[in-house]
Amino acid sequence: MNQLTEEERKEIIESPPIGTWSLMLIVSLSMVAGWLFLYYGVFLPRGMIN
Amino acid sequence: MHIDPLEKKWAQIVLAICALFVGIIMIDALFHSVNAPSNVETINSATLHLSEEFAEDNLGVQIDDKGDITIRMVAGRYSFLPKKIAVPAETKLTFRWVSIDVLHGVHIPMTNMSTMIVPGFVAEIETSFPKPGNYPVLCNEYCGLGHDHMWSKIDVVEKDQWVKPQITSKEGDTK
Amino acid sequence: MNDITERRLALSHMWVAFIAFILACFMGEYQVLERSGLFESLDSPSVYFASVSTHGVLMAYVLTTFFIMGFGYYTASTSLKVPIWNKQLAWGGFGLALLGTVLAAIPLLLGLASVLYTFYPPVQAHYLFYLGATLLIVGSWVWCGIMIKMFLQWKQEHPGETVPLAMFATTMNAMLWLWTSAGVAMESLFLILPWSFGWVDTIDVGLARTLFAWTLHPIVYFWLIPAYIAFYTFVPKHAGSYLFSDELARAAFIVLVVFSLPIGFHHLYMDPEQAKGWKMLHGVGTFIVSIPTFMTGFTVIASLEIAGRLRGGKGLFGWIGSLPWTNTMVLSVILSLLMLIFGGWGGLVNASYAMNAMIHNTAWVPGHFHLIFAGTTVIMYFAIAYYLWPILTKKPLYSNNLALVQLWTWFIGMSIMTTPWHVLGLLGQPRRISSVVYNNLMTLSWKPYELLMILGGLVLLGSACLFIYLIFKTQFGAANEAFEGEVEYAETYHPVTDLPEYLNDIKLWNKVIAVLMFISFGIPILQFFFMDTYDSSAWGY
Repeated sequence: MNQLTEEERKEIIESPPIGTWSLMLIVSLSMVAGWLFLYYGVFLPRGMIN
Repeated sequence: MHIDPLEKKWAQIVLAICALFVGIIMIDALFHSVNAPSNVETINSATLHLSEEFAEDNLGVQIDDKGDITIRMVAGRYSFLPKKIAVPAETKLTFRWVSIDVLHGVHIPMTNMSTMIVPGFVAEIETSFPKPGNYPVLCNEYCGLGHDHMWSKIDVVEKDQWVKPQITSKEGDTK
Repeated sequence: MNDITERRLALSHMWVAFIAFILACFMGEYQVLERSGLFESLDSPSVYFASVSTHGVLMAYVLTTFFIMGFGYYTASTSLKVPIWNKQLAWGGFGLALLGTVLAAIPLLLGLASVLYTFYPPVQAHYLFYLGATLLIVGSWVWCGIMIKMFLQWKQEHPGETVPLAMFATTMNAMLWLWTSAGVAMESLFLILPWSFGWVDTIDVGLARTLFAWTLHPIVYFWLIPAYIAFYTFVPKHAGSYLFSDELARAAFIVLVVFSLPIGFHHLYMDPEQAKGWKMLHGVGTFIVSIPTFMTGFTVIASLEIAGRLRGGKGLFGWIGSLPWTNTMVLSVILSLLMLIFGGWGGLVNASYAMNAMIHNTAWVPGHFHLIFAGTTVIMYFAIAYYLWPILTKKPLYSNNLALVQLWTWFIGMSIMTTPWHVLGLLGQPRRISSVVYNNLMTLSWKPYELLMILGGLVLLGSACLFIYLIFKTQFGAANEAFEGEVEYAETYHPVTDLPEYLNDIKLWNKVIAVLMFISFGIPILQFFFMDTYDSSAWGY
């Protein structure tokens, strides 16, 4: 276990969560792509529905 | 209330994603007729054979004088009747499904012909089949111990090869 | 505080939950084997549908309700640092719910209630089934009442103070359950019980389905919220850090509870008894309720990021590797979130109004809810059990390593079982069939996926047995040392000051829910009293 100074700890705790932000962006954009693929690539080509 | 700036940006992205999905769905629903089947119409499931519309000799595929195709089907344990029908591909079709007994669901795999069939209601759905082929018509709601066996057949024929039945109903005739 | 009653309440409820769970797991594996047609000797629709009905009731109603009550009682007591209010009443509720469960189990196991856990009329089961299910629900209302009473009493005795997050969420969940179960309770009391007792001859099928749809969506949030409680109030400390945002956690629970209720019609998208305007309205609401889950992902993962970085993780994603993967709570949340990505995405597809036709009542649907419920939610139930069992029994967890194996195998088994299940749905396989007997070449393409599902189910069954083994050995095995520990809730780095009252109380949200429910369900339910409907008589199966 590395020993962090009180200052280093504070810095980590208070810095913006860029890893989380990147991860959420990647995941959500993949979800959108997947949804668009299903909607336009599978659902609509199967025929009209009303 | 303190919100981390990145989390605030994330919230905006989430709202945008939801707006995108809702937007596409609503525009398609309102302007391109992409809707869940929702024709609320009641009927007495116990006396279908006595009704004009769903009497046995009125079932199946019919075309009216305007060229609109209506298919009347009856669901009952354990089949869909008529057991074999033929329709043209790439054409708007109006299906009207009723149940003679319990809850059923019907789906023609690889198509958007999907609806619940609730006793007491006529389930009406407009759809079309882009690809010709022999498709099974499957029940997808538990309706009893024979549910596995509940299916019928539909032939989707090339438009120019489909044999029209005699015109037996007038436009808008639903009885 | 001598908490022996609190511990007994928690353990009793959770044992009922997990015994129901393991029995249902065996049924599940039987079902996937039977359905594949590999072993002709197993072929039997009557046994299959009795099994599916029992499996569904045990997993969806018994495992969940009892676990949530037990966890809730202990959370209330430890977070508020008070004894349970009216312990006799709590035991009374437990007894009533247990009685209901046993009453329902009898016809289920005898094949007299093969109507599935959704029991849509007009197929009719033996009245004992419906009566038992109703008593189970009424017993759970006792728990709801006690949670709300303890919440209100604490607020009265601590004016101006912030209710601990774990109790705020638990109480919101109790309020959610009261609202949620009202749908099926009305269906039961006014439609099904009189009909199954023979007091009336017919039943309004459209109204019954609509009332059940009222319950069918929010019930899954009732199940999910305890998993989120663990996400927010246990995970950060186990990972070695802080809860990223207490206020957003409260906001997430509020939006989840409020918007999970008025959206049941996404279960009726393909139904003819409701019009499309209402379906669209419920569809929009369904997308709104996805927002708090997206936000929860951020808050929880941010808490984990801090933990990983404090442990030396560097760079954009290095913190993931440096998390304490050998801590059962941390491992569980990671695996749970992975399953939430795919399960949640599947939910977005289901919610998408007309696109629902692509997957409605196909095998995609059970694939989806096994992934999101049996996966995302139940793995957190395991995590909570591994955390609480030593505290409740005062004995150390029998084996942390085996617990890690159990969690990994649950995740792996779930992935192997539910992925092909989703594909089968896209390939058109219906749900709720006990065998594949359609004389059509298309069904040949289904076979490999069914075989994969058998394998996934086997892994899951082994994992489930290991889980039971671990909690059993922890509680009843000979321990080398005693375990002394208390529940420790996560803290924020900066203390929460100035919390607005709307994030600290339930009364306002109760009113908001009432208004939204009136808008979303008022006319759709009332219509049945103004339309000429043709009710159905009872059918056997």
